[in-house]
Amino acid sequence: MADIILPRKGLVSLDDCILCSEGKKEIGSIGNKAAIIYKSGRNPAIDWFITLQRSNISDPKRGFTLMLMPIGHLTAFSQIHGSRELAQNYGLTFAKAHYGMQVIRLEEWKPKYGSFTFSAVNYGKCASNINTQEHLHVKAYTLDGNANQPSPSDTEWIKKENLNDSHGERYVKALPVLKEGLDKERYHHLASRLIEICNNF
Amino acid sequence: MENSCNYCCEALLNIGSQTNYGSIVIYKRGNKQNGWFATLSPKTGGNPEKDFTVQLMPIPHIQHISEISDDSELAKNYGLAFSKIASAMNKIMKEEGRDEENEERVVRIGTYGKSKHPTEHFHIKLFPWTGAIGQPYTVDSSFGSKEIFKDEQSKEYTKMEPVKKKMIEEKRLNSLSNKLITLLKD
Repeated sequence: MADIILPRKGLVSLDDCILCSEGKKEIGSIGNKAAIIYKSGRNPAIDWFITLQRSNISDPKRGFTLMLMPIGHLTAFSQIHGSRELAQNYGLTFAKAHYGMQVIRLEEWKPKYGSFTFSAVNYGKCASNINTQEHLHVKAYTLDGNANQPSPSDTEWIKKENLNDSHGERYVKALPVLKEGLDKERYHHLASRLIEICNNF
Repeated sequence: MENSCNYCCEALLNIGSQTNYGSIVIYKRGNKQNGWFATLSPKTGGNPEKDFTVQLMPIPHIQHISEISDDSELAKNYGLAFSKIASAMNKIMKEEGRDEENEERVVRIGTYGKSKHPTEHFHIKLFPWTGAIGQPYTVDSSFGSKEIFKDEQSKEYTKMEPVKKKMIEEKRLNSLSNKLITLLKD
């Protein structure tokens, strides 16, 4: 029950939550795992922030992942409905993250990749046991490399060929992905550009 | 508005109307420049007796997520619509005892939206995070640690659960849509 009820004294940042700690950092703070590229403000009750993740599942030369999180310790999507400003700021932050991502993709696009198309995924789940952090987070990532494949909620996934393994268990094939850290130079460059883009429009 | 776009046509329908696909319009907010609408799908990739999918779409013919940044009211309305739908789904799932399915006693909801096909009207899904739809996605840490196999052509792959879309029984679909419409009323 506790996960879906807003704390009586309002939303707060917790001292023992990694993502709450990230939310207290300043824009431009570049850590080993993430860089803070945008904050709608500092208020845990209404504000959101975006990080550039050092780890990447897409093509390391073209892809990257952004993460959107509330400053306050929310654990469920339904809690966003607790405040009109919190919900509106979620929408604005979501739009900035995806705009920034496509500006970078366009800047880095090379003729050898073919013709440019906007592409991105927005994905999150709340209160799931496969989340490593309970603090609400939504990922926005580019569809490059092996990240460019359907996900289980895509119609394309349903069309995949069903196979049986030697134990009679049914499965579909997916491309493996390797999490790799972005190259240091690229990580710092992306962080700087995203800060410029997301904070100046 | 694009006359040849199914979602643009659906955006013109009133709340409670059924689309050609069989979805039911459950929510609308804003106007034709900055608004959003949501439908309840007649199919689910989960258990048709318990699960359901809500699809949220902009009223204008937005083709890419990044275009939402062109209009701050469109962006704000996305946040308001998303949170309201999540809250309504949460209420229904709690009412149906979905929080009793796990030790933590929590309601699990997933969201997924993709912009890839240049002509497609943007849409984002919200659904109970469970079963084959609730398995790790590529960007999850647990996906990266899955065992890698090689096929006859030495091509690497991982094994994942198949997902099959099933129709939700008419009675349940109507009951769900009525509940959602009531909960989503401003």
